[in-house]
Amino acid sequence: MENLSHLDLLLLNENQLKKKSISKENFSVLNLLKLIDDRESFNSDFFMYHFESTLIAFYERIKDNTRFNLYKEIIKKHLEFQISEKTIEDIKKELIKLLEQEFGSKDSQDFIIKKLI
Amino acid sequence: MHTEIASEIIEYLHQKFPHSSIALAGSVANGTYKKNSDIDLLFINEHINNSYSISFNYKDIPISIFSFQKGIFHTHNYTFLYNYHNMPIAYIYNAKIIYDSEKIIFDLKNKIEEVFEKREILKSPFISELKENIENLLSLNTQTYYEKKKVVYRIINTMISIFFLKRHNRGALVKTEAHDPFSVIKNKDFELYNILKECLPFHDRTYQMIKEVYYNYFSLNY
Repeated sequence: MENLSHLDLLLLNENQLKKKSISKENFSVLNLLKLIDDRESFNSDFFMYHFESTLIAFYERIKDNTRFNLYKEIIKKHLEFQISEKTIEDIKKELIKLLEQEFGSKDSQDFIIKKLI
Repeated sequence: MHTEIASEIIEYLHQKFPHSSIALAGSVANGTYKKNSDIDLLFINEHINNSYSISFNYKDIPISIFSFQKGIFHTHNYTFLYNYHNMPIAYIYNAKIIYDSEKIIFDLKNKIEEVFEKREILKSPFISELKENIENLLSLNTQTYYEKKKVVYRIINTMISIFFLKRHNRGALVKTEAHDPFSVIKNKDFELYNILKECLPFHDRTYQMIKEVYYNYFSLNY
């Protein structure tokens, strides 16, 4: 984005922020993908723990939602074994698919808005 | 480049919303930013009643604007008291105020000091409560590999909260510490750090190891 004027409408009217906020599930997927991209900024001894605990939180969020039936089965299968580099690669592919199919590609969004707490 | 872009956005927001409170947060505020760092800003306006994050790219730099509701520390008091990974506290406490004519961010910083005071006063009962949570988790009859993993990760997260209550209860963690609490644990309790390193990520012996660590080391030292 090169023009800050797009911010005006969002900050002027909270209804716009509410309307354009992404779901918690969408945010969790983006968060997981960012975790993988920012891997080097984590203590390498504990990155797998960070990733896996975040993945568990995401799985628990979606496990009762039939919208994500296909993905939750795949994620659950990985969580039933010790995590490995292959797990991270496979999960990354599934998350990208999920993002595109359920939430639309990130590239098409100028703003990502999340309602906090 | 980051400081120039941050100034540009801040001045733009101030011009459009002259009564709003605006601060610079994160690594750009404390001068530790790198080439690929985000620019984090606080924007607080009386007309926004909930808390939001707004992320976008501007001139190829990722920007995050955090808008917190004025009463955030009233409505979520309990969460802030013993949760070590606390984004609003970290951002607000360490933020550099740029515009704050209504003293909103100034007041929020004072509220955070009150949270730290309460933590100090209440840390013993909090730690007892969190230890009881761990003992309840350890007494669960977990059967599957996944259930054991889930319980262990909850226990470790609780142990980290207890660590910070006991050893680091004043001051807000900076973003890097909150994302990686183990770097702080390594400096203050090397033994605990090494134990956790052996246990993680979850493997076949982790559940039993965490149980032993808790009863033979952690519950005695914390």
